[in-house]
Formats: sequence, C-alpha cells, structure tokens
Amino acid sequence: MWKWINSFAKPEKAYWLCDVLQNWFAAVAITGLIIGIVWGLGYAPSDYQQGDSFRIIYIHVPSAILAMGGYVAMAIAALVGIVWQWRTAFMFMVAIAPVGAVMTFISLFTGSFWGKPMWGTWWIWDARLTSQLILLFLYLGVISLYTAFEDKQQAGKAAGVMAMVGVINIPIIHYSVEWWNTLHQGATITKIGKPSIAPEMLWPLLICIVGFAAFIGWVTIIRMKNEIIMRDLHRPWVAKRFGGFEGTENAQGKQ
Amino acid sequence: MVALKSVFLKDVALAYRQRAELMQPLMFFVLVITLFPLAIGPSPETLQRIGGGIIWVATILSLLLGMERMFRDDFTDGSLEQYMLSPTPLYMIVVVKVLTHWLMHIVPLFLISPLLALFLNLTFDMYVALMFTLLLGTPLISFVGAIGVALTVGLHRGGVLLALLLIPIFIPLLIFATSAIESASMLLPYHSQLAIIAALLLFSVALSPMAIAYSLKVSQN
Amino acid sequence: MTFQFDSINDFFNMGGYAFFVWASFICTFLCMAGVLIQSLVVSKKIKQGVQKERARAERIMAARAQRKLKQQTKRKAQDPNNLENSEVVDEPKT
Repeated sequence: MWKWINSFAKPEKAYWLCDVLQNWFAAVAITGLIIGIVWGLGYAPSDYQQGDSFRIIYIHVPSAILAMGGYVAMAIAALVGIVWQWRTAFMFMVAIAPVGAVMTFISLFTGSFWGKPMWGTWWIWDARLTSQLILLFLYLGVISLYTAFEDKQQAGKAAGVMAMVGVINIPIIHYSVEWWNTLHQGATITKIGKPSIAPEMLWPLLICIVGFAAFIGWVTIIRMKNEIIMRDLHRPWVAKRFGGFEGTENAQGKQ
Repeated sequence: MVALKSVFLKDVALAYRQRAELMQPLMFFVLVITLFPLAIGPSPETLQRIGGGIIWVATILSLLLGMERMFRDDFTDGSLEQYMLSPTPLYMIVVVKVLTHWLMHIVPLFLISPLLALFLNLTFDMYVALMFTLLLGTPLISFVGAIGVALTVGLHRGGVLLALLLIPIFIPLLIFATSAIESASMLLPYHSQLAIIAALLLFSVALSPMAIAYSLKVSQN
Repeated sequence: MTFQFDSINDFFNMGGYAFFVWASFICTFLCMAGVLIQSLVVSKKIKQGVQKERARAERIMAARAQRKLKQQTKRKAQDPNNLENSEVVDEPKT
C-alpha cells in the first residue's frame, strides 16, 4: 500500500492519475453545479426572514468552506513534499493555490453582496469576513513567494514552508479575530444566526458543495498536468507521450 | 556552547559597529508615530484611545524593516554555509542569532518608549501594559519573522515580499496586544491577553527554529 | 419540489434582490470560468510548445544529417586521409 502511494511521487505516474481523474471530476463538477444552482435558485423555498437574497448561500458557503479546505489541502501537500521529498506534492501545492485564492475571493465578494441587503453595508468587520480576508492574504503570500524564485524546486520548498506556517496560523487567526470582534462590537452584529436549515434548502447546498469541490479538483488537475509537463519538458516520458523528440542527444542534453 | 557564544559575540560586535544602521528602524518607528497625531488630530483623548494600537503597528513595521538584515550578511559572506557545516546544530545557532537580533533591536525601542507614551498621552497603567506586551510580543515577531527572512534571504528584492508574507501572520499578536493595552486603560486586568501572547511565544520558540533552519537550507540550496 | 416563482420575470426579479443575487452569481461564474479557461489555455500552449520543440528537433536532425553527408562527400573528394580532424560540425544553437 505504502509503496503504491509512493509511486505517485513520480511525475509520470501522477500525470497518469490526473488523466484518469480529470474527466470524472469534470463530469461531477458540471452536473453538480448545474443541478445545485438551478435547484437552489429556482426550486428551494425562499427564506422567511431574508427572502430570496438568501439564495446567494448556494455559492457563498461552498466557496467559503472550500477556500479554507483548499488551504489545508495545500498545506498537507507541502508537508508531504517536505517530509518525503515528493516533487509532485509541490506541483499539487502550486496548482491548487490560485484556485483556492479565487475561491476565497468569490466568498468575499458574495459575502459582501449578501451583506449589503442584510446588514445594510458592503463590508463589516465581521469575524468570518475578516478571517476570510486574511486567508486571501495568506494565499497571495504563498503564490508570490513561489513566483519570486527562479529555481522552481527551491520555490516549491519555500512556498511549502510558508503554507505550513499559514495553516498553523489559521485557527489562531480565526479565534483571535472572533474574540476581537466580540470584544469591540458586542452584540451589535446583525449576523443572522444559523438556525437548523430546512432540508429542502440543505440538499441543493450539499450538491453545490460537492460541485464546487469537484470543480476545484478539476481545475487543480488541469493546472497540475501543466505544471508536470512544464517541469519535465525534456524528460523522455513527456516526449513519448506527446510526440516530442525522444532518444536523441538533442532532447536529452537539455534537461 | 563555545560556538554559540562566539556567534552571539560576533553578532553583537557587528551590530555595535553598524550602529547607524541599527538606528534606522528606530527612527522610522518614531517618525511613523509622529505622523499619527498630525493625521488624526492632536486631541489627547483620541490619541490615548488609539495610542496602543499605533505603537504596536509601528513596532511591527519597524521590526520588519530591521529584520531583513538578520541573515543577509551571513548569507552573502558565506558564514551561513559555515554554520551549516559546523557540528553545532543549525537550529541552536539560529536561536542565538534571533535572540541577539531581538536584543539589539528591542533595547533601543524600550529606551525610547517613555517618550512615546508621553507623545500619545498614555496613562501609566497603559504604559506598563505596553511594556509587558512588547516584552512578550517582540520575541514572537522575531522568531516567526525569522522564518520569512530565511525564506527570502536569497532573493534580490525580498523586502516588500517579506512584509507581504509576515503581516497577516502577526494579526493575532496585534489583536491581543492592543486589547491588553485597552483593558489597562480601563483599569481592567489583562492577564489573559498576556497569557495568550506568552503561549503564542512559547509555541513559536518551540517550532520556528526548525522551520528557520530548514528555510535557510532551502535558500542556500 | 415546485418552481418557487410565479413567472420568469419573478424569477429574474428575485423578490427584489435581483441586483445582489445576480451580481454574485455572475461574478462567481466569471471567476470560475476565468480560472478554468486560463488553465486550459496554458495547457494548450504547453502542448503546442512540445510539438514545436519536436518539429524543431526533427529539422535540426535532418539538417545535421544532410550536412554530414555533404561534408563527407566533399572531404572524400578533396582529401580522403584527413577524416578525423575535421569532425567539427557547427551545430545550430538551441
């Protein structure tokens, strides 16, 4: 089992896995998103307090959850890469970082557009919004650290350290911000408490979460494939696969 | 132990000889703090209310400025490689270096702080709270910041990137430190905030030397 | 499981929250489409790059073989004893 897992440290094997998974993820993402969003927008009952504006939940909550989850996935990949020296783990890390950053941005944006009709303001220093904003900064930090290095092997390790430092900090930031918020604003926050959500609202939400997750997986796989080919451009297996020129001194001399 | 002592003495001597450079972050610190009353208005009550926050923000920024030098000289002149090759574990050396750096930067800050307390109209209780939070918080900044410094030491223009990487991470510290000062201004106990900062500090002292040592190795490639 | 709105106009109106709801959905769609398309474009470019590289390598090989052939015939014609010294083939820089 361990050996089998370890075989994915090889770019070639990882590429093969990506190829196998890509279409599945794409199919789940597209069907999940379409079903979930149509259901959520058209068929879920409207909220008795918030009317139809609550329908933003079907993109806000999945993106917010998965932004956090994406960061954790990135940090786990960084840990695997640093501890077991997997090159592919760093590639995964680099592939998922921009997708996660986009998800964080979506959750902030939709949160703002949901907040305007509900709270009467575009932005509120609510604990969740604030920690989500900091999460976006953490994502951007990892990405910009990665791009700052010329040597991508080194860049992966450096960004990996940063991702791990960030993931240790996320809970600390989250709780400190929550605490800060209650301290400064008391009960003035008009955040609508989370009542147990009705099942006919919950189902489309769950489908949306699955759809978003599959979407992230899909895009990450595409990006990871790019990353693998880009780094292994002159290895024989890439040549074999894409009809590059293999087995010549020219193709091998440039590694 | 001898090796660590020599690292300490070397860093102290270097810092002492580059006194002018050591002064720059301090000047920056004072200047930033002078800007706030000018921008916000000189009313003593306002200044008192936001004073703790201003001092903390200025501290973080000025420490970030000075931090860049922590490993830079060692990196460019090759001492870092010698540290890595030496039988003393790198993380021990790193701890000594970070502590030395902290000492060199924080002592002037402490000396100048009564003046700032006057500038911003802090009460005596607030001043004491400020001192405690600085005492516990600045080593935290140095230890966590050193990870970022070690990561960016090989880059040509690491300065802005360093700030981008580190500022989000210092947010919890900022929150607890300023809230301790605020509690002190209302004559409330602020042990809990100090305890949390101390916990964060111990946590970072335990973990960050390894991360710093690893990052230095990555940077050295 | 019924459609919650009386008419399609009602649906687009979203109970008065049309702007907020549709703006968030459209922006989300644009962001997701953007990141997806960008990844696909990069992927296509890389694959094209590999093909190009291959074509170039083939051209280089062909040219080299041809040149060798030419030189050999030339050399044979001029000086058949001096084959070892003139092995230098100016490769096209990659």
